[in-house]
Amino acid sequence: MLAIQNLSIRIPDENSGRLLLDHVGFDIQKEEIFSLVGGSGSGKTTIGLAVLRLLSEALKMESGVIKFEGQDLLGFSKERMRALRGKEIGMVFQEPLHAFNPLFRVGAQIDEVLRFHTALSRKDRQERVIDLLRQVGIPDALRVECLYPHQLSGGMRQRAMIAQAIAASPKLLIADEPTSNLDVTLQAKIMDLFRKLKSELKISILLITHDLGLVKHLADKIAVLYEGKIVESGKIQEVMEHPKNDFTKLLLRTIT
Amino acid sequence: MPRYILKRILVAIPLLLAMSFLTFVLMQMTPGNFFDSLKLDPQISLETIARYEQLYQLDKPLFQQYLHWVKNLLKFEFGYSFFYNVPVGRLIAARAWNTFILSLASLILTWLVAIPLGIWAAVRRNSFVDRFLSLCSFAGLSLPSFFLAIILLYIASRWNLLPLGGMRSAYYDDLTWAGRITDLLRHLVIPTVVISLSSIAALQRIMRGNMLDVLRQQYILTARAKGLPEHRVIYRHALRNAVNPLITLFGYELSGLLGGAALIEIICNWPGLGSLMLTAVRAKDVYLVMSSMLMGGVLLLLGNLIADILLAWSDPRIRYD
Amino acid sequence: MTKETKLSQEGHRPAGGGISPSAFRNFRKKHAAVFCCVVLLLLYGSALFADFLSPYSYDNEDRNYSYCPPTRIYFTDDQGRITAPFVPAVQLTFDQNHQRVYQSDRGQKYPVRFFVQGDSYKLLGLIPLKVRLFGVGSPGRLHIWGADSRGRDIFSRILYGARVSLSIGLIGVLISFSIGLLVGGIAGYFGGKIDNALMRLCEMFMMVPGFYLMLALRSAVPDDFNSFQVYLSVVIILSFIGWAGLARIIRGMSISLREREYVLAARAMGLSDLTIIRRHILPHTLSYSLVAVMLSIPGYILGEAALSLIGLGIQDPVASWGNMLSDAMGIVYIQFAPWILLPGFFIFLTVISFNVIGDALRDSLDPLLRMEVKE
Repeated sequence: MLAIQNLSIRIPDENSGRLLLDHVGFDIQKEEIFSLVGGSGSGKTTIGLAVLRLLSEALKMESGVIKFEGQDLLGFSKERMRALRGKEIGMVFQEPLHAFNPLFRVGAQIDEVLRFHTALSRKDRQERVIDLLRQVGIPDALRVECLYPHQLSGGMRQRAMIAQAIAASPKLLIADEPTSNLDVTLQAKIMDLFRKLKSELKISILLITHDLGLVKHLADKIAVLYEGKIVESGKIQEVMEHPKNDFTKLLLRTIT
Repeated sequence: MPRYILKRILVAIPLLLAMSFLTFVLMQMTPGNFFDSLKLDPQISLETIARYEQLYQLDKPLFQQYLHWVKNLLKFEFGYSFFYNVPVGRLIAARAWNTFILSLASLILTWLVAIPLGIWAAVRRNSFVDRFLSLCSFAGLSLPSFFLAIILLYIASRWNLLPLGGMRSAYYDDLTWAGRITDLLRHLVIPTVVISLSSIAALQRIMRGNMLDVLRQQYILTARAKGLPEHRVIYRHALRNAVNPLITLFGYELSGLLGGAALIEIICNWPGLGSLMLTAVRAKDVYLVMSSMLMGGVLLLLGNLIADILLAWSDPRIRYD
Repeated sequence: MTKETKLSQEGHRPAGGGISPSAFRNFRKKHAAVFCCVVLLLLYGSALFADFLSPYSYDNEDRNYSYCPPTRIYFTDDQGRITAPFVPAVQLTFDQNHQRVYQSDRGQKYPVRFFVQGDSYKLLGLIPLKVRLFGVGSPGRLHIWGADSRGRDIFSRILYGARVSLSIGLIGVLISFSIGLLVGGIAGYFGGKIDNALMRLCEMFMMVPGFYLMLALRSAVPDDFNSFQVYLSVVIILSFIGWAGLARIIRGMSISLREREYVLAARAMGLSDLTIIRRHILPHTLSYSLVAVMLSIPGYILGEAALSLIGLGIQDPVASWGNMLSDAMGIVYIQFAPWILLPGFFIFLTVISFNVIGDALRDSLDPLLRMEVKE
């Protein structure tokens, strides 16, 4: 469904700049959880932003092809891209406290997605928001919907962010370090949620993380990113049992 | 919330009293009083003057005079104006209202112009528009307001566009209700523009800075990732957050305007608190001066209070903590 | 007065720090600021040597030249031959609308000379002299920028006015700053009750509408003060209003500095509080203070100009840019004597120069300061 080939992104500076991503490529199929694992600074967040074409102006895309459902995203007009964001591809960010607008209620922010991507009436949207919140595991959705982001606990905020991302029923969810700021039990719960999203809602997930242990039992396929290059990729079983790259071996050692 | 307001008011009262006492002392420092000019008039007997002085307590020791005035304050009596020959309260009320109209008009104009210009400059950062506006802001901040007032009055006089100062035309009473409003607006133009210019310049720069800060934030990235149209990202998400810190400024501007407007009032002949103060000071009209000062201080305080209330209202993080 | 504090409210974060050589380099690169430095140097220099540079003393009036337009200097005579520069005799007449018209008669020439004998003065207040840079012999008069209502030379009065207007800015800010430094430094360093009390005092001063306080203070000045005493009063009044804002800024910086290691070390060494304040805290506030000072000078210049404009500042015949502008308050005169607006332009020039320099200083001292726009 998502095919990335030969993606290279450079950070220009006084010299020719360094390559943040170096000929990166991988594929994600339908109903598949694909995990991209790498250390900080490896460029993994940038890939997620690159797919949605939300890269900062400071970065230069030197080469690459990004195809979503066979169509070349890099050729899309601004308007087509905008229609795609949220509706076909959703994104969840690392720090939900900063990723939510502090001045608006959580329910309203989720409702926004529906307002601009669906034709539902006000009442229908309201119901769907409550529904979404329940789906992501927030039982007292009616109360939470009226709260401001800073009033939610970390775990609830992350779930609300996921609810916002899947609100318009996208086919692909990009999750950028979704659990870095949560404790272990909450992490497990979010992973369960992702599993549910894949099996019940048939959403593919690009899970970007630095924690291999997290995705051990969750991902179908995995790619390891080291200093901007994909050093290993394949089915999770294979990579974990027969790692070929030193860095992968290093990562594996940290989780067993 | 009401407790918070009450606390602020209670703290302010001693400050206001101290201020009025300071003013009183200053007024008494100048040798002589209002009646000195009358003493020069041979037709008025010294006994009459002595009787006036007795009436207005000017023959009592200073501190007693002050206490007497404060006591009357509690009855909402502000003393008597020698120069205008009416109770001060009436004078101040009318003039304060005029000053308020002028300040309000300036505030509205400032915000109507500065906010869009600030957004424009931020969204088109470093473009020709941004740099041009930056230059204009700088010039606007540096141009002396009284100089601008004089120039505008001159231009108005050459091309007969607007009335040259004052608040009402001579034929005001003959106008219809709509005509009166138009007349007032025409008189408002020059003083309002002059007062607003520096505020617009400053606010525009601040707005631009805030917008740039906000546009760097994570939630703006989220909003775009949600696929929201750009105008919603800017005008709902970015703007709302960028304006937030300015809300306090709004209140402080209101209070600041009252002082800054005084000079322009004098130049443009606008019958407000500022020009009243000038006349009172020149005539050594003690109680008028003190009451004007007090009123000025009260209005300033009110502005600050409004600022704090607005801040609490607009930012839910503060409200619900 | 809100205007002069607006620029200093931006980037309002106490960083503190000395002036480093890299700061100088940064500043030199900003051409606009360097240009403004030159402008200010020229203005202040002219003020210092106003007596020598101006053809007339500030109170030299001649009603026959009331509102005289800028005198045209001729380089050719009425036959078209090139001669030494001269000024024609000028006669005041009135046309049918009762407007002033100055007729010039090229036949009668008054040559423009350099180093002429003019009104007497004391160079730098000490040396009595009469020589002025340029001028014409009487009864001709040379008004290169025109004359005011009483026939006084505008060019001369602008130079003399510069003395008043520019010096009030410097002296006023010096006084305010000293008070502010003391109060703010003490308040920030000691904290607690002292801090509270001093800050209440500041608040009281900041709560009073500045202009109103100025008027009230001015009214306390006796009428029979001579011009120097009036000048001093105006300076003191302006400082009285301005110190509170500076004190608050210094206090903020002082608070953030007192927790730094070298202050704790000094205390451990047993240095007295006053010494610590003087030697360790205040020098580090230097850079930001310099910026704050630069940006507040315009306020004092504008304050004096405003007072003089409405007749409560420097009195006639002493010239100040503010009281020169009061001629222009009778709006009608501007039409046929636009040169009476010149003092306003000079005020503008001075204010904008200080603002540009202050802004540039702030940028070059700490680029990070600029990015922190909010409080």
